[in-house]
Amino acid sequence: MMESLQQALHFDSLVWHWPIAIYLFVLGISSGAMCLALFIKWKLPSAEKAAKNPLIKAAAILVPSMVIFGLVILVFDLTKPLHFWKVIVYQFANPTSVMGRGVTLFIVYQITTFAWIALVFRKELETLLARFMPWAMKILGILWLWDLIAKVERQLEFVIAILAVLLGVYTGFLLSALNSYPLLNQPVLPLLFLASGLSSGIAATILLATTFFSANAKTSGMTLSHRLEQPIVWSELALLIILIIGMNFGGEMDKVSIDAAISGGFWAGVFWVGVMGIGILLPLMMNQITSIKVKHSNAFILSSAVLTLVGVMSLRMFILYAGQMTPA
Amino acid sequence: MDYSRRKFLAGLGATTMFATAGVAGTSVIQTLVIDGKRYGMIHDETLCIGCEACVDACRETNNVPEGVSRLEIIRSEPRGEFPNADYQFFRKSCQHCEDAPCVNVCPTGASFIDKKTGIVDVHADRCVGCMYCIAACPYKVRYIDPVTKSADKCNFCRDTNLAKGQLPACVQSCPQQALVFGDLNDPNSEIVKTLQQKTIYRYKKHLGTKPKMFRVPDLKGEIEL
Repeated sequence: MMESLQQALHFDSLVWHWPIAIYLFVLGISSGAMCLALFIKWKLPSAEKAAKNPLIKAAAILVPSMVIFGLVILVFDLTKPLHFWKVIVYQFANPTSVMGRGVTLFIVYQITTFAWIALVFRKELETLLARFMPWAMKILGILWLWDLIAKVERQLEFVIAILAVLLGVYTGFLLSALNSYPLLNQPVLPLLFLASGLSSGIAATILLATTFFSANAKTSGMTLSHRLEQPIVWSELALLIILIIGMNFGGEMDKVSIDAAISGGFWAGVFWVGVMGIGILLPLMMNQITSIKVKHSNAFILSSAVLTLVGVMSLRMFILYAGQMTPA
Repeated sequence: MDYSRRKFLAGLGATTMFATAGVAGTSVIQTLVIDGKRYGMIHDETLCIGCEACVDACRETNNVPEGVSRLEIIRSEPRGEFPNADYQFFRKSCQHCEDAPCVNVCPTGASFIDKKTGIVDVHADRCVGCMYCIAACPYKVRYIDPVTKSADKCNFCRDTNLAKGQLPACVQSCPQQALVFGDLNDPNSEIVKTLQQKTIYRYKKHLGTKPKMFRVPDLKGEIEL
């Protein structure tokens, strides 16, 4: 058993290890949480303040922190972490590099999402600044900047929605750009990662909102979150089936690759138990067989969020490792 | 140096004409050429005896640290019965692709194709070690240099022997003349003449990488029945 685990985690054609899977996982959470926060804000009755909503609060923490966390992981995974600034300085040296465009996206995404958070929590931030850094309110034209952002709120949110979706598909394109590995070089991968990113973003937001901001089934936005979850999980299932069938229709190495991935060994186990079982089928089943009363309990809300997160992390690990098992 | 500004401009003009007319020339592959050179290599597997003199010469010339290698000779399982058994030898090294996946994915431009020679090379200073190129290379010939921590691989001795006007170390050291190195744009070069005379194949050509490492197969077509 230990030997097979060794083989599953260390093999010759493996270049990118688990830190990259965590990186892809947390970026997906950021992307999904941002999409959810916008959805909820757009659907909230105008009288209700977005800044008071536990789900939006949770998303506002997850969106920037997950990107920062992901980038820290990425930087320490470089062989030359102290040279990371070259990725920013030379990001346009190769205009068609997926990673280079990812760097551009992170910068724009981080700036715009910070601006959005500053706008939504303006009252709270102003109170904090007035108390701890009163001088900050007088300089830098900070209030003028705030007013300016408020004027373009609609446009800003529209741009952020697009950027969040781009971040979701980016995690897939990063791997699908590798035509050296048949399982990674699949056009469906960006969509699969976008969908699972949305799933994990919603789950993480619910988890944080319920544990830290005392959200429950009655919190506005919670019903919407659950209504979004269902079709997303179904589309993940559909995309996985399309991936498997599509690769079986492909060339020799496509078939060899998907067969090696799902029909035996450690990663097949991760796929069938973790991705399919825990991440997709179990949450779908739980949703079908339980009563409304159970569904509205915090225990149910938390456990289905945890199951989804485990499933999505399993998917990232499975695609990354099983993908690199079979070179083209 | 035997090139001049005049020749350079003439070459550029000719290249532009080729490009605009969309005509494939007589050479094997067409690319944008600035200085007229497009280096390639042939490994004649029928001549190779697997002595690995090339591997040692490469390490010495290019100061390749222990534990990694720019060049490997992979020996097949023995073919046939003793005493008539023999092996097939496969050279594992950079293919100097015209459409190089490693160059396409590099986020900083550290991985590049030298426009003067068509050689795929790495700016060690520019490389941050994200290993995207190592993952992208279908030939799995790239590695992280344990000393510089940058991605590295064969560069046809671009900064060593070639810079001194000599042939790459592997070619020089081969006792069998199994390696032919030269300019694919020069119709009179030994490599072009050899390519015209011998049956060649290129590894994983179907991936669209347009490798400039050509191989003379030590096999007769499809042999697994």
